[in-house]
Amino acid sequence: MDKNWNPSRTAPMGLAAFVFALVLALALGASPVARAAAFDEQTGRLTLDATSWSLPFDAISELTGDLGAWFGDSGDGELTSAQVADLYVADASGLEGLGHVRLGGDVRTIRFNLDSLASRFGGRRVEIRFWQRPEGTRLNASVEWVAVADPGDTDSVVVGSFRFQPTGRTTNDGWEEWTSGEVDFLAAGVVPLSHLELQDVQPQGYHSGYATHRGDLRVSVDALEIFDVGPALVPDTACTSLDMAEVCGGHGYCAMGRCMDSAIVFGPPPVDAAIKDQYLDRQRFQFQSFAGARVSQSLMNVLAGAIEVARNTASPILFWGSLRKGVNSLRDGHASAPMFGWGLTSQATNFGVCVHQGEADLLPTPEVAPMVFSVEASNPVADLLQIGDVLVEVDGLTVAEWKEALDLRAGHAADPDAFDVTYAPSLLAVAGLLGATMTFARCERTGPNPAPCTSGELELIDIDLATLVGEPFWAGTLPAWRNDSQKCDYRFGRAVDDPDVKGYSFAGFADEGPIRTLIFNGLPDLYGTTNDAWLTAVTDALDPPPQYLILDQRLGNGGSVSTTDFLMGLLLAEGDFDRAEIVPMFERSLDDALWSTLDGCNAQSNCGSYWAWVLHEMSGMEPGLRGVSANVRMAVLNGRDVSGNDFTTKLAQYRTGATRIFAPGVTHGAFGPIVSLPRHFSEVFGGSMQLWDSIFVVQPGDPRQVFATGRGVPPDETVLQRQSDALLGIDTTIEAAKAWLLQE
Amino acid sequence: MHSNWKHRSCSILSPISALVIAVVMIGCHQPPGQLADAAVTVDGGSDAATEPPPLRSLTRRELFAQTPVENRFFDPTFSQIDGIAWSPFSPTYGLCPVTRLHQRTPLGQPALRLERPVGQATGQVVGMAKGAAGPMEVSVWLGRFVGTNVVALRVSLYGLFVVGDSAVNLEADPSREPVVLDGVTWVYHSAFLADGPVSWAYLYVINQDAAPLFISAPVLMRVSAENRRLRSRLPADHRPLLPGEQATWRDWQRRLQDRFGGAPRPFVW
Repeated sequence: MDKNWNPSRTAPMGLAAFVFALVLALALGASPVARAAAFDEQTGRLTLDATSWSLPFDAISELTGDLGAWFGDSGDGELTSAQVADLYVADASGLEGLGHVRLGGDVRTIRFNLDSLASRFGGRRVEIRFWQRPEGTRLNASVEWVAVADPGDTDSVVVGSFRFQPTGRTTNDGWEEWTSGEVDFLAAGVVPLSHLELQDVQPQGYHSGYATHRGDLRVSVDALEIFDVGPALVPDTACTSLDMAEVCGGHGYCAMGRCMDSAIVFGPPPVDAAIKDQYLDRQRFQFQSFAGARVSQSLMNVLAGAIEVARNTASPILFWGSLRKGVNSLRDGHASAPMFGWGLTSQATNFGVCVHQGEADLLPTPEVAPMVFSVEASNPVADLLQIGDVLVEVDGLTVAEWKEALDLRAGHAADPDAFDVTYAPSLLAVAGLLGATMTFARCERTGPNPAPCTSGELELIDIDLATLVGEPFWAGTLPAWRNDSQKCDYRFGRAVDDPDVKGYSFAGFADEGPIRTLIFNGLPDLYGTTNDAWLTAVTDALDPPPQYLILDQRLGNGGSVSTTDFLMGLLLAEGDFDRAEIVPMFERSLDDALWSTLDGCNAQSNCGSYWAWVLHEMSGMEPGLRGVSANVRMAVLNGRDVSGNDFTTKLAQYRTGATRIFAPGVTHGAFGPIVSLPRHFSEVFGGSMQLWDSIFVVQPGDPRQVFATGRGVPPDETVLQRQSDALLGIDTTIEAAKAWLLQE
Repeated sequence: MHSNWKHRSCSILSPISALVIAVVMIGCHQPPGQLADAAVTVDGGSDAATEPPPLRSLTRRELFAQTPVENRFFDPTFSQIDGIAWSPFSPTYGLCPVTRLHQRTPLGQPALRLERPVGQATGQVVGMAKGAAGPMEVSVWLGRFVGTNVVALRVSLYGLFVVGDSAVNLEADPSREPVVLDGVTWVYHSAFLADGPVSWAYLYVINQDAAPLFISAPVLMRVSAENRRLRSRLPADHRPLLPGEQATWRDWQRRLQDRFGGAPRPFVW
């Protein structure tokens, strides 16, 4: 095994390669030649391009046949023929031709099959444009590449999908032109653009939230064209995670070992230059003006720089990647960039294998490295691995070098020191997505106190994911095991044996002698009865208090402040901690005068959305429960802890009772509520951030100066799962906690 | 409150004039064909049926139409009715029906249609906006179907100001003429603030009529030193928050406090 980086092997996505990709993307960054239907000022009508493939919507029969159009209602049921016929408007009020189609009300979706066009557009690059006129509602249009094993097979994988965007062209009577932007018709030279879907935006739930659907709203559609804009941009060739910029080009992405147009999974950048500028300016403005984390405000120049990179590129991977990198550089653990496309990247699987950061003490040179914690599936990947196997190389680089070469840290939004621990479970998925070769090292040992292996004793296991997963996938085989994925909870062992033990709403405890272990994975909202079991488990675990306590929150996904207050209210006495100040950003000095205003404003009124979270009061905890377990000697076990679990860890430090934090690393440092950011055109997701930061006031009168977001809580004792313990089925962290608890 | 309500015709113009004006005021034309509602004229004399419809012309729409990019409303296009960015909850009446509409509006932005819950006296919606130091203007276009009760509404901005927790009412602003589009009369409402809210503030819109109220283009902007028109305006009077405003904010706050977590899924690659 060559653990020394071979300088002759390039690492394209390191700095040099990033620059290369940037130069290449910039060279490709000039706006493509616009192709659009010609508008006749004399007639006020469109003339479809003679060279395009067009759908003038002059008859419903156009949509059936090869296009196999499917028409869906608001419940995703199929419309009848009569209902479909009613969609067609046979008059000249459309933009061109004899008529147009009108959707809305109970008619939600039209989905076309475009794979029949592969004979015309295979190997080519296309752009799809259509026009819609909102009459109360409008359409989201999206394209989708779907890999199926056999035609008609229901088992399929969405390789990529993204939505259309406005071009900026409109008419004075309300028609709007929308475009897919340019994209290669075939994904990886194999999977055709499968579907085009037009869907009424109204029933789409998540961001509609509490909006009311109206059945009287309509939208008209006309003049759909598919333009051939030239040969495919991204070569149909094999690639690796490390050479994708060179081999696939500035627009390319290495998908399971094959080059693919990155637009397919990320979506093209805004096509219109002015709209692109406005979009990026709004992104910069909303983070600058709304972000509450003070550390984020100090890092806005980094975001601004990333936005300028995005502004000057037409490469999808560089545009969306720069935006993501810039947003994640703000050290706001709640921040995320907008998402315009999805597909393989959103369906990543770990093949049923959980890998976490561990202490590889059985390697010839012990090191901290990703290690197999569990294997809970049987498939060509999982069958090669055992508990205790250590990931030592990816595509010939050390894991650290590989992560740097791919700039994977750009995907991490929180305290940078939390990255390695947080990201470890994603390594298999990323390697699978890119078709990388992973090398695991196994030291076979039995019995207690095993000695490290020599180099000669070490077994190296190469897992070539391009061959195992990518080749069959691109050849049209979709093995069912590709869906094998296991939820990883940063634990090696668990005191509680329950099928739901990794679930967000789970809480449970078990006793081993005088030591009680309470396991939970988040702080679910306690309104209503949905999470009564969580409340009961936590209350029963802490009232009456145990002799010793292990608080196992190695998976800590946060949740509700009142729930956090309840849990920590049981563990802290009233004199242990006063309050957390939840403070928005002010574009004026937070001086004594402003503090006086904040302190003086009516706590029952809005106070500029500043508020003070006084311990025990947010949950309305009855006095008899407050601090019931405050004096218990407690070990806190951390792994990946964010938001509410940042708070639990921070507050634990103020307890009267002896407390010690055991963890492989720091928490995320996301001290504040998370809010979703609005979408500005047709993104799938608008992003997120914290609009507030927090100040911990331990005792009344303590100075209010230190904002907490951006710095995670470090452990008192850094503990990683030891490889030698893993082979014996021992949870290193739990044993360390027990040993400390029993020292008393 | 709305003494200046009047109807304005969408005049029939020559093609060239139509093209020019269409670029400036989107939608102020009788559309050929499908769009509903005849134009309402000021003098009632024009008979749209005897004149040919104006020719369709190509125009352009920017990402935020005719509203500024640096609008300090958190969600100026109503894309997120999630109980935080925009909240249609009334502490008294529960969930109020709101629908995001894509239709012609004075500034080309989407609209929100607000109605009262069935059997209830008012419907309300509240949205977040970020204050700043110095003079600011808050504005919004409010619409009613032509012929319906144009009063029976209230719109205010409440928040923490240097003068304390308070609210200002937005009033019909005669600096912009009402606009009729597709059977809806839109009136521009605004307030000038001598000093903006200290931080987050809330636009609170109440519909007190059975007819729907349309809301579009909320804008909160700093007033530049060059904007003399605004700087010469009298600042809006501050008043204490009404019980409904206070209760609405408490309800909003409670919903926010459930958001310590659900952190974004780590981006795999």
